[in-house]
Amino acid sequence: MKVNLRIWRQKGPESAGSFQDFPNVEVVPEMSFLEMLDEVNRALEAKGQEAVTFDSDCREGICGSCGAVVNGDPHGPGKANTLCQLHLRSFQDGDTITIEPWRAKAFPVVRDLMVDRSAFDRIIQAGGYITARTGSAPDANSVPIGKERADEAMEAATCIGCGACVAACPNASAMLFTSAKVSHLGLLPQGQPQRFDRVQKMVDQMDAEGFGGCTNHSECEAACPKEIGVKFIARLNADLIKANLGNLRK
Amino acid sequence: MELQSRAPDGPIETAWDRHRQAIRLVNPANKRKYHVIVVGTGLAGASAAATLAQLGYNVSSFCFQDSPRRAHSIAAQGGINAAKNYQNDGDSVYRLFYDTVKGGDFRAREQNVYRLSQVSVDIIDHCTALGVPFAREYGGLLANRSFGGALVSRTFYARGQTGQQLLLGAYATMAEQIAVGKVKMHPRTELLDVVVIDGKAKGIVTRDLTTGRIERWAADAVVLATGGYGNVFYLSTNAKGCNVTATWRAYKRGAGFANPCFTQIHPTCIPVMGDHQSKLTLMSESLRNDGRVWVPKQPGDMRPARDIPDAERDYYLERIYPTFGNLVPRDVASRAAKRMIDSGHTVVKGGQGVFLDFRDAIKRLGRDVVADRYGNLFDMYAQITGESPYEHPMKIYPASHYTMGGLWVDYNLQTTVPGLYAIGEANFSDHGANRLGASALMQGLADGYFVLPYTIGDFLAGEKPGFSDTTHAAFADAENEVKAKVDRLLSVKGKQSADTFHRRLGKIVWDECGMARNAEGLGRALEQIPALRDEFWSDVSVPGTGADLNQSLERAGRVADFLEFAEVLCKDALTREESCGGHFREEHQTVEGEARRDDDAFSHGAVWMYRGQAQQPERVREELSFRYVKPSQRSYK
Amino acid sequence: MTAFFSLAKSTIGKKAIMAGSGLIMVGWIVLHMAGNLLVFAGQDHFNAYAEMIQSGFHIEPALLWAMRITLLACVGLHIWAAVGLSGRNRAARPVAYAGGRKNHATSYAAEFMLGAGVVLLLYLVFHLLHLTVGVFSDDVVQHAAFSKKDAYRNLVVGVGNPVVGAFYVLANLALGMHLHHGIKSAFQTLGLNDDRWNPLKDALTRWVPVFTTGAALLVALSCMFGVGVLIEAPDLSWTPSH
Repeated sequence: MKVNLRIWRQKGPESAGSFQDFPNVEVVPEMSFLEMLDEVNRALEAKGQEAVTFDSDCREGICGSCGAVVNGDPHGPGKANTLCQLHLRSFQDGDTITIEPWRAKAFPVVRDLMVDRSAFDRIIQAGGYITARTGSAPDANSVPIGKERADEAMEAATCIGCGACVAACPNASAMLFTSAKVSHLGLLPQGQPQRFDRVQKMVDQMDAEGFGGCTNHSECEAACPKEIGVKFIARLNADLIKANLGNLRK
Repeated sequence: MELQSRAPDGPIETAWDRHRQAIRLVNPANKRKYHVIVVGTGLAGASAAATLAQLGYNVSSFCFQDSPRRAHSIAAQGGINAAKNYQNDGDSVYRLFYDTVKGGDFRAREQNVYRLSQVSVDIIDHCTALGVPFAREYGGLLANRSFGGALVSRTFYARGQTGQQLLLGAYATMAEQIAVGKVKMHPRTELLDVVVIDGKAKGIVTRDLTTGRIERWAADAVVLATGGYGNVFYLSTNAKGCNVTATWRAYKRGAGFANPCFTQIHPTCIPVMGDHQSKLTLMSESLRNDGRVWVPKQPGDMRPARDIPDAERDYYLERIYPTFGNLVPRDVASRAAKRMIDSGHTVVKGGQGVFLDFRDAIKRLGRDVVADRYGNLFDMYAQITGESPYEHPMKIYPASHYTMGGLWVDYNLQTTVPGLYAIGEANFSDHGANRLGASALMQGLADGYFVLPYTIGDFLAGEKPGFSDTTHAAFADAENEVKAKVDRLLSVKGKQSADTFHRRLGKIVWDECGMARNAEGLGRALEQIPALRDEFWSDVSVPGTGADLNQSLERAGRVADFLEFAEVLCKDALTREESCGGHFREEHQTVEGEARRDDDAFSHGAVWMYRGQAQQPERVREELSFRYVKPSQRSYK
Repeated sequence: MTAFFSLAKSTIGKKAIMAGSGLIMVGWIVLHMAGNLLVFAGQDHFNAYAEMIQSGFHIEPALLWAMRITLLACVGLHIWAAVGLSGRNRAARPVAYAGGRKNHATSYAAEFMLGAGVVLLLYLVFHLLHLTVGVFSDDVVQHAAFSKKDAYRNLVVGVGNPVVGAFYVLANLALGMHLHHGIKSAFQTLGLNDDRWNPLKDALTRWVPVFTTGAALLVALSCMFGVGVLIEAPDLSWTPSH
């Protein structure tokens, strides 16, 4: 089958970008989407032309490196998948496929489809951890944690930090990401001592990075490859309000 | 050349304690005067950087990914072993030690493995304290699952995402240290050389992947946590970015490379679907608990699986290994599949694969129970192949997964270059010739959290702190070499992409040095690889410039190193005239086709020392002695 | 107060303020709409109701002003937060998707939130001028002069004007949409999204807009078409019959 690609090309954060057309790209339905881009690049490189820059690493949906908006959908059509898990069988012969990077002020384009998501790292650095010196921990079974609570923490912890939530949000908000991190640690007994301090610091950093606010469209949840729910955003909100009104911060 | 393992003699149970007592320590007030470089941010690198920073050292951390959280440890599915004996099923530090030495086919250093087993319990405690959401029982205590090669249930897990959760735990601690300034993080930065001054590692040269800038970094010690070289096969379960560059450059600066031929092939991966394929996806080993492996008896039988009656199916693992059946260890299952394919019994048109069939499990347990156990794996398979394992048997085939070989390290995890350390998959230490499931995460974290942060002090205590002279001639030399190589890659201006060469290299290595090896094939590979390397340097096309973000250049640089490394890999395989663990030499097998070790001649680690571009590398040995676990022939019949 | 200001600094805090002020207004709107339904009980009852409010619920005239100031403060805070957040939200995506962005989960109500808010602000101003202050003492908008004393007639005659009535209908449809997403959002923003709260949230999200918009439309359409309400000749000398 053949598809027509429109791929966003942009030299750097400050340059203007535009779509480059790749008409009639020969593909097979078994190909993954990124393998199609590999083939495009192989052909470009063989001709001595600059390859399309895009992030990708594990190619099994867990590292969170890859991501692009494909025909208006972060990670392309389909539920619960990353771009590397998308296959050409999701498209028809003759389709035109538009590919562009995540768009957010806090995620400046580095080049082509690659964006700078270091804002996420800085949100974690602001408080997304439990302080524990190596070697100081008590026996792992000394604090029992109910299965349901542990499972819910795990549900939040599955976040791969890909940024699709930001890309999908009409406001480019990072609330789903931040809430997943806050909830993962806030649900566990180990996370309690720093719970309210953590939420304040992470939200402050999230705001400082220039992400938008949440207006409860739930587009993030629909785009999340790990199907993390907006219920965690509610939990984040509650913790932040409690932290302030209850004066629970350190 | 004499290799000093520095592994303590005497009772193995107290070896690690005695060693810690014997080595030098750095005064807490002086730790902040030392600067340590840690390259790689997987489980080993992140845990080491975090712990060194907690101890007070100044750490610079480097990774090629856009965030340290994306290192490939994140993709580990199954779990992490620890001798907690929470199940009261007879586990102990000694049993984990025993299983690991035996599972490694008696090619690991006993003292290292014993220490690994000892600290395994601390890992679980620490990770739990960090908020790793391990699976739990209804009573709130930690759950365990069983894994291959063990008779006890000692594997801790977080759904099928254990690696991710452990890595996020280590990454979070590192993030905390980044926030307080103890760790300086350099993402999207690739190591291109190690700088050795007066015989000691004193820094590195890197390329900033965003700006193309080549930079010099001085330090008092350098730690490589840069993972394995499984991508030498091109197709593997490794991430696209995994590469041998860091360890290879270290090798060329004097670090011995041990046992490169010990590569692990995982039996249950989704087969290659076509020439476009960029990587292979692992299907968890746990599937073999209920799935039955078979091929049609008639070679070339391409009927749909459901049209092939039982009488015309060959459940070959159950036939050949009646005792272990479908649950034989990874290397045995992989080789059996290869034998079936070699005799024409493939189930993939124009390709290679065998069936892993859940028909009987669904009949016996019901679809719901099967879905409950394997639902997410079935979905993942369907997503990739477009076929539902509920309706059709899975097609699977072995793929390169993990590399036991790596930089040789002593008991302190120091390479043959003083001040240069290697941890995690990047070193060769603990798994011998074959790694057991759920042991890679254990080793990475043991090295990073609990071993290196102590042992590095022994070296640093003897060093004047604060080395920062990047103007030293050794830095200039290294930088010039790096720049020259970059320029050379850019100036070839040939007709083939680096990826094309990588794919061709992968095919040679997989065909001749993959699941089964023989002298003739290895000889062929040793002719083809240099020829391909020459072709690469005369026909590779690397568009763009070096002074900019250029992924084509990144790929080309890594392929260039794989093209050199592959030769040593094949040499190692050729010179190890025995079969053991992941290394199967067809000349050395029993009449039933099983691996035959040669303990008299090969009970040693083979360490390759670089002797210059024009010279052949030297093969030196670290003799192994087994005082606790006596070598025996593995049998799974 | 420090807590309030520290909360107000973050986006989430602003949203909490928006949610709180919004919920207070929702409460008021529901009561107000219930009161409006008294129009069907006739002039006496309606005017008595209006007088009760005007008099500070027959308790203390200052209560009326307390209520007005509270509501005004809510409107002010609501708008302040909305302006701040929506400006920030737009700034968060300076470059739009050239190939568009598809929606999968949101609702028209959610997408129209800001637009509806602007409509409601205009409506509120007009409504106060129209039926509380009574500045439109002309026949174009009011048909006849406004009477402080006869709220019933002001309403029935004022909204009976087809153009004005149409605006009331449209504004109240916007109100329904705004409330639908607003109530849901308020619960989410205040962190009330779990099994305990969701039944209440779902009920309010569905029935409050149905009730308020339903009631408003019923009143407006009745006035416009003279069904169920009695349109009398202007009588500036109206006094309660009891």
